[in-house]
Amino acid sequence: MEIPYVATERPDTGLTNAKMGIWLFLASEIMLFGALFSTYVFMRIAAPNWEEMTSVAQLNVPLAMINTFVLITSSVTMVMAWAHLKMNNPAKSNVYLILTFLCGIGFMIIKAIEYTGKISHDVLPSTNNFYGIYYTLTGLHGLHVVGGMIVMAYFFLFGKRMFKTEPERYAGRIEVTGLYWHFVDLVWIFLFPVLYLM
Amino acid sequence: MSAGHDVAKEVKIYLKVFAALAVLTVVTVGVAEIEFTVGLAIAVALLVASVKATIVGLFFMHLKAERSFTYWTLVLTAFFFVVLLALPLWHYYDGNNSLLSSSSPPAKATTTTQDDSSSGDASSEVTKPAEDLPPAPVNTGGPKTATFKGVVTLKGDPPKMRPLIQIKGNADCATLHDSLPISQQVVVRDGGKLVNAFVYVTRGLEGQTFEKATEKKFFDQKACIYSPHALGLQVGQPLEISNSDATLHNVHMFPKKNKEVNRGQPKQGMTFTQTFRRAEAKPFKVKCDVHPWMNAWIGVFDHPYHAVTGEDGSFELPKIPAGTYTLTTWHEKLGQKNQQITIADGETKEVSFEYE
Repeated sequence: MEIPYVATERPDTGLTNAKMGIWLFLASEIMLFGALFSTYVFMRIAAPNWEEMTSVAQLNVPLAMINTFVLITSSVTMVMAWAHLKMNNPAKSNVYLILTFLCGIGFMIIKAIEYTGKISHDVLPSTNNFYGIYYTLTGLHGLHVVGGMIVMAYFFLFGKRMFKTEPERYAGRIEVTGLYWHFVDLVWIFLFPVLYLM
Repeated sequence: MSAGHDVAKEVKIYLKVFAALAVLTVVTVGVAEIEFTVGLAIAVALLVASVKATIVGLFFMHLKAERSFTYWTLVLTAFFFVVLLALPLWHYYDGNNSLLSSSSPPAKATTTTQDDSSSGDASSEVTKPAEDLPPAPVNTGGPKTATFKGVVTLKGDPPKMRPLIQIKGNADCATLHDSLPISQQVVVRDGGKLVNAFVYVTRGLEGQTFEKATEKKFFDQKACIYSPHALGLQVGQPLEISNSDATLHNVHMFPKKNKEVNRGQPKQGMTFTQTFRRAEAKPFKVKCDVHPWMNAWIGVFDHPYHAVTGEDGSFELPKIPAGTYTLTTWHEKLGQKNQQITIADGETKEVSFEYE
């Protein structure tokens, strides 16, 4: 089956179908994370002892800050991967895509260190409401990071061939991947202060 | 992206955006080190995060030059997102926080002069009529010169009150007591004087309005006991609730007409002020979810003629206009008793209630 408007814009929306699809998907993602943020707000204002719950263990702010840098760096490399395709430089683009992937690995390693530290001190989702929402939010976010990495790996290993035959379509794919990846970065931009600093 | 876009120029912008994001991240962490109030700290953190999110969206996600379809998708999503976040806030502010509830308390201030009758530790109260009361007399008000005073007693042997043995199980609280405190459920002093009974007017004040009670009352959590154990308030009267212990307490109140209150005070010296918008038919219970032995009773009345009996079982309801009233006494364990009494201008009438 041929999917129309994958490389050219559909006249009525002004978007390729891929881009329209990713924006609708991101809208649903906003609601998914939004529901969890709402849960966080509700639990926090209803809790008689929020400070006591958060202080069961100290979240590691330096590690989370490094992770923030890792993710914003990955957002830049991601957008570079797209820009180099537009500048007709697929080799460089691929390098940036791999760098983005490596940032994702770095993020997950730091996340693993953080989780291991907590779990070894018996701080689990069942510990209290704060850690319940902490693991839920960061866990779901981590899954999104992994999801993005799988897509990137596919592109820099196999998908890149498409650039030779359909450069616009491939650039569109990388752009759409980027939109998703920036969204994941954006979620973290909120998670970091909300969970670690407040 | 659309054709003709100068991508090379964009690349320079991306690097600037990256620098801005890095700086803002440092700002977020730096600001968190400053000792702001909680509200301000949250506002600043969210503001910085929103700025970061905006520039990621505008530049990396190319939202500064998108199609209207995308914008409308996002506007719609943003609307529902805001609804989602507003739901818990709405619940919160509609609750006891008095942020939205400052409008029109039932007892409006008028030119009538009326003092709050808080002599000693007696407090006053008002209630809604209960079903089993005699028909309401109609008093028109007048000079407030009469006084009801008297004693509440308990006939026979008072029930023996148990020590609060549960305190032993809580190290933070146990160290605050040399010996186990005794339950305050029924406190009787020499010869049957009943302490902590509410006495208040239930009928005879219909249609009258009273001056707002502005004098602040206090409710403390000290040595893991509530003090006082029984307390009367007028509608709108401020109650300052404090935690004098270096341990977490919460005040969980169960009013019928007002919104439930549940506020934690994790630190020593914390206070908050609570007011109630509506009168209650009976005093309601207050308990601490952390320390199950802690409880107290609070009555909320729409007039100032309410009191709690002191250590000698006595009460006084001064400055009441002449008329026929139903007086009620209410005790958490012993229940309610009513009597109808007529009083004339300037008269001081002795009233006694006896529980058996």
